[in-house]
Amino acid sequence: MDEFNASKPIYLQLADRIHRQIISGELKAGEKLPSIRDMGLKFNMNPNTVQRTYSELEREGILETKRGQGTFVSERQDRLIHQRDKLKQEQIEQFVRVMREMGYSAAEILSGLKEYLNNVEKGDE
Amino acid sequence: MSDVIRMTNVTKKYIKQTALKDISLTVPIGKIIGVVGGNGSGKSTLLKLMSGLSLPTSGSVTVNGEKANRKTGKVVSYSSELSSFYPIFTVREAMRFQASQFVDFNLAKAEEIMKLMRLDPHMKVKALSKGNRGRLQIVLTLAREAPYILMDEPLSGLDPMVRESIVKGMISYVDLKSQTLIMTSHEVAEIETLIDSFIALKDGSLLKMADVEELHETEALRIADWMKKAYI
Amino acid sequence: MRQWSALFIKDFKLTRTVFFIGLVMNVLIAMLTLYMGRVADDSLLMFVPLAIAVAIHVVYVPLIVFIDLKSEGNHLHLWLNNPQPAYKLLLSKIANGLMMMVISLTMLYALSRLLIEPNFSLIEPYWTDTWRMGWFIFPHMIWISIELCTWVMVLWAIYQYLKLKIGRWSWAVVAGAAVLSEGLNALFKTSDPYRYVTEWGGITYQFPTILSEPIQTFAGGYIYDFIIIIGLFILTAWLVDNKVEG
Repeated sequence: MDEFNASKPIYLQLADRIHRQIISGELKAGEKLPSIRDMGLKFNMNPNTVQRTYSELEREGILETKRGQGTFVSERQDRLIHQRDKLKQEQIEQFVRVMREMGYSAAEILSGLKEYLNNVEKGDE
Repeated sequence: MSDVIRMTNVTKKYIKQTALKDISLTVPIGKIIGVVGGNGSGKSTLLKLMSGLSLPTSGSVTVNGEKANRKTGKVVSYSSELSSFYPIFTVREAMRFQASQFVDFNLAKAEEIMKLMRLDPHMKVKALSKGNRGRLQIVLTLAREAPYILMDEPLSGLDPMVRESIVKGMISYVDLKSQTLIMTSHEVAEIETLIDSFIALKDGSLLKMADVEELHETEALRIADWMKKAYI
Repeated sequence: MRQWSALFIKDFKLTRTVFFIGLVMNVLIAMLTLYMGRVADDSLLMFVPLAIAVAIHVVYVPLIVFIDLKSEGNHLHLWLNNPQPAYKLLLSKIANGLMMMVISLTMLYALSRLLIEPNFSLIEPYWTDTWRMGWFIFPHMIWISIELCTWVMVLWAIYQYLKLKIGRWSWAVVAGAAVLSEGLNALFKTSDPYRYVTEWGGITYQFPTILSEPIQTFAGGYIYDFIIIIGLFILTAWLVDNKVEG
């Protein structure tokens, strides 16, 4: 499985993937997730690992398991919004830390980011 | 509590070499376990001892609390590396024969796996290609609802498509609530996400038995990379 | 029952080629007899090939069981992994060999009968004794064949066991064991204790027109053989269950 690397436990990598899919809207609130077995089949992954991922995400409140029906993305928008913010925060923290390590000032980072986003938006049009 | 395969100080000697040296380990229900190691490291012998087909020179092997011997076949579904079957049967006859001999053989499940594997039920076993023999092996072994499924090199020598369908078959048809799958493989990368734990053998000794995720967490290494370090 | 009949069919399929070849050979021998009847007419000699063919049947069961075991040996784990006790697995092989032998021998008898019809004048003076002898030979062939078969099985099991312990010279050890035990058995059969134990319940068979001497058998002798058969069978089953590795 080239999609997964050894830097992090596989069950967390799968959790990250599901996070991203929810935040990007690929998976919507209330949507049903594949069964553990189907998810395993999709990535040739041990069902025990998928189970662990689902349990972890349930603990975080992102997923809900309804007895006899399967696993769903939580309907609780606040949880998802919280998660969305958390992920944003994490990414920004990482970015800023790397920039600071290289000696950029806050103003430089901010202007650079603005410029970059402007260019990207132009490119999109 | 006793629903485990337990090996205690197991040594297996053949006339000219010692295949396994002082192995102690326990395998519970509910796992997919890979046995890894180089050629001649004792992988096949380990599986045969667990299945009761081989008997230890010293030490003990118990399966669900009973000493492993030929009759362990009742609770262990074993398949050999050579994908050998009775050549006289067709695919379906082989399935029916298996069903007649093993009470836990689920014929409906076998038919289902056979379809998934796209095997022709009327084909003579001896006329099957290597890939199809590997597939038949999966059908006959996984259709048994035995607590332990032991497969010796189920992926070796097969093309990627067949390997993929075999891995999918394992995920679909091994019920980890009641079964454990133990497989030997030198395709370590291929089984990395498939297995819970691995048993690493080197020259007949147990080098390590650990959870794959543990290896990722503590050493941030894939099994293959870890092996490169450990096997020097 | 389904378990066992599936085993039996499997054993039949593993050995049927030899069985069918045997049947074809029976027909060929009958044709040879016919041919000899033409060229060397009015001679009882024409029945010699048939008699030999019947005699050869004494090795029928051991031969079939040996071929069967040998083909299991190609993938021994398949057979050993079968959870049924060894005695059942072995009985299926014996039953299969026995069935084949009975069919083949019956066929030979029937063919002989057909061939005798047109030459009946030739055999008329011996006829009563011939068919009485036929009846005598048939079960005794089966009996001896089964006894030989149990020897083959036990030697095979010992070979499988030794193969893992001493390697390539196991066949020599097994051959030695075979010669030695047969020697001892033969020696014992000529001894006084053997006679003392077995010579009871005697039956005398007379075939005055064929044999000048009557044939004497003892119920004790059959029991002695029976004990050997059962003993060897139990030993084989034990070896397969506990010592043979796949």
